[in-house]
Amino acid sequence: MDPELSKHYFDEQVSRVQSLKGIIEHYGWTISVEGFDVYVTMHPRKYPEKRFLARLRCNEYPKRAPSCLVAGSTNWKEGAQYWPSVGPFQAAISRSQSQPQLCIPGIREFHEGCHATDSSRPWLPEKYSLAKILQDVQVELDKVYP
Amino acid sequence: MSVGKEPPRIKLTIESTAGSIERFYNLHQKIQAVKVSAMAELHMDPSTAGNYGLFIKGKNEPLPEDKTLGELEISEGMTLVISPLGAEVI
Repeated sequence: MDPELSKHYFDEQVSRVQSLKGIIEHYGWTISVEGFDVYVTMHPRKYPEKRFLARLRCNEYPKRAPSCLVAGSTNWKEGAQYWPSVGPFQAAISRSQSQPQLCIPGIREFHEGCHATDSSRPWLPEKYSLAKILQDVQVELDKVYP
Repeated sequence: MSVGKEPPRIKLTIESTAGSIERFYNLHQKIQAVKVSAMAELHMDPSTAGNYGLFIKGKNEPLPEDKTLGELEISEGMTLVISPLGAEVI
């Protein structure tokens, strides 16, 4: 996909998320962007001291869904050790891979991985905005720390 | 000719990941009605309203749907957030 066109759609999505001041404050997100990566520091709503960093890699957006992983909130490094390891979040991820994968619609690992053959749930960028994806990740995090 | 007393109204911002609206609401309006009408305006399927709660921004618990804005002392200028009560996990 033409990188410039991809950047246009990506920037549009990022602007939409950043315009949602109420949502950002409600969840306590801190958002930063680097290239096609969106880094969002988030915490379980009832445990603000527990910090996680979600990284949405949006290369080839909107042709491909954003790829999501949890990185170290202070060093931004990748690693399974940075993922929530307790509670219902486990139901949403597969640890059989080298990297845990979040299995929720709207995320690349869902559409191209665990549900690649599921034609009933195609990747539709108009259905899964960046804001909605981030909110769904947040909800999963909240389930870990109810 | 009698003139009916206008019910008190307040201006609220209601936000979801689908966008944001600013509207006047009657203080006698129940939370559920506020949520469903806002969802419709934000092009969210109102038939899925049960999957969402209406929250005061930053609060952890959804507003009770059978109460009115007035009963919950929702005041002028507040921001309410429509947030899912659970995400879809396959």
